Amino acid sequence: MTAMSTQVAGGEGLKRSIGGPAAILIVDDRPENLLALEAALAPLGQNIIRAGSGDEALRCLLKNEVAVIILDVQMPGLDGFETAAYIKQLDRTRYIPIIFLTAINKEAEHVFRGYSAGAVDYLFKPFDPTVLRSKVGVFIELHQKKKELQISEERFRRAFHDAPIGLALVGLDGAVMGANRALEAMTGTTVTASGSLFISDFFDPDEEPLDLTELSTKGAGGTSPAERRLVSREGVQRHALVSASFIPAAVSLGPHYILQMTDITERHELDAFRERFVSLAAHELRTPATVIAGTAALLHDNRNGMKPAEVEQCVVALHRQSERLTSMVRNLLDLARLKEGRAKRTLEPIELAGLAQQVVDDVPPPDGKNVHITIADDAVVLADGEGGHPHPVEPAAQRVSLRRPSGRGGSAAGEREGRAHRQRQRSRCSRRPRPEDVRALHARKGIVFRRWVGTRPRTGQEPGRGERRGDRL
Amino acid sequence: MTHRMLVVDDEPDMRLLLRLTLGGAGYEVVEASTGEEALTMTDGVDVVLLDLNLRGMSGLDVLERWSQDGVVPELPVLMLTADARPSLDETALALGCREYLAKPIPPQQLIDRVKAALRGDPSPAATVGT
Repeated sequence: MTAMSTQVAGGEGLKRSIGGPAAILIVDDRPENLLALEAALAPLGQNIIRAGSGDEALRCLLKNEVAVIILDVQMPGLDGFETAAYIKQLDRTRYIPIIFLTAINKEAEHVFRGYSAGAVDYLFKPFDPTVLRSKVGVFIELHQKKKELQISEERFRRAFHDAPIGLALVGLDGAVMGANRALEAMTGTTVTASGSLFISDFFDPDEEPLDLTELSTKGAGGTSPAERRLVSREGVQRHALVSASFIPAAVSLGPHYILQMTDITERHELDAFRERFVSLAAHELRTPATVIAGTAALLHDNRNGMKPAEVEQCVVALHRQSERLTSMVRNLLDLARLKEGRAKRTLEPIELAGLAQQVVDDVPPPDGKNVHITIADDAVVLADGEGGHPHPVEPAAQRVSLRRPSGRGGSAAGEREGRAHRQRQRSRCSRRPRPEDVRALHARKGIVFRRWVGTRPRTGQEPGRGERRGDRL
Repeated sequence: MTHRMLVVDDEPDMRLLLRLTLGGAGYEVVEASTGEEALTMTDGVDVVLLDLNLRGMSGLDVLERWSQDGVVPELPVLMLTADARPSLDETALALGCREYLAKPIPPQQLIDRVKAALRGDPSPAATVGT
């Protein structure tokens, strides 16, 4: 007899499982018995797979996922007990519940043997269809619960593994039992389940150790994560917000914590940048403010005692420094508008070589110093070409978005050298140029956005040509 | 007796302000726009106003050189800067700077500090300026 599957709909159908209806394997060497079983179980609304022998039943089990097996004891070839023994030997099938059905082996020793073979029940023919259906129904529901649990576990596993924040399973003793990809990337560590790694290994030893109990208690009443420095084995330091949840117990793990780590390194860098920028901006504003306040006070107090040429010099200085101050304030306001999204900036491709030349023109190097910039001839930046402010705010405020020329990559082909030797000639530039001036493309045309793409810092010293600093695209 | 003062600042307008302010107070003002230039101009100078943020050789570099050469603390040096970081203040004082003045500083206050330096008053611990 060939095994076949019958889909029966309706009747007293059980709730359908997530993965579709469960399969019931019925095994009997007599077709009429299979028919009777099928009729009795049809109202359950599940797939019914028929097998006419023990061998056939084993083959069916290899190909199908089965929720419960109804197995005739008395069969030619492999009998029910022998078939059950094979089923219990295979990892894939050993937990499938087996209900033995027999017309003749009703003695206690046979019943006992059936249970020993792994049966969950031992029924006699003729069977009551309602009782059989009820018993099978229980196992179908169990199977569905198990499937739901598996799906739930898989969902958790994937969510854990693919989460954008770092996650780790940590024992009560601090041993790391598992970690997701994000955490491994943050810490630069590959976590194995060996338990040889401890959560303290991730953090800067100079900082206060994490108290997971306290952290998880805080988390229960609304998150209150701790901020910690992560130190990878390569010594790379990152900043993370760390919170923890206590898991009382799980199927395969004892009580443990799930640690959540959010990488806030960029935010830290941004904060540091803001602080530096405010400090630099304040510093830059002080110089013209000092000249303006001092010169105005001087004119107010001593004007009559000053020579006309000195008064004129003071007026020129006042004018120059007030313009400088106005320009700085305007650029600061531009920056604030930009941050709030109110400033309209049109980014357009601008040739990097030309822009760099303009930067050097605007911020000439100090006496006797050269600026040597090598730029690929097709390098293009996206920048706002408008603005026209004569003085930039601060180098740190400048950003330029660099775009790798399409189709060319960053190859050295076509690279041309543009050397800009500028002696300080123009008096209007009064700031001391710093290396970051050039790196930030301190453009006269206003605030430009910078993002270096795939750059490698390059520094060097060449006799007679000064210090070389730069990034290679 | 007219005291001679060396003003070291790379900002021309700042030098102008200091020259007129201190010149008006009766000092003979000589100017240097770089640290390198300042190193050669200490002969006959009674007091120095030294800017911290000079191009090339910084004010601290100059001070360090003078400290090595024994020019300071014999020659009173007042450090003038827009950078009010305490760490710089400490460094400058450790190098023999008499006083660390933060810009902007009112003209009269500046004159008072210069006078105190020339009188040889005890070096004030606190930074003057606003």
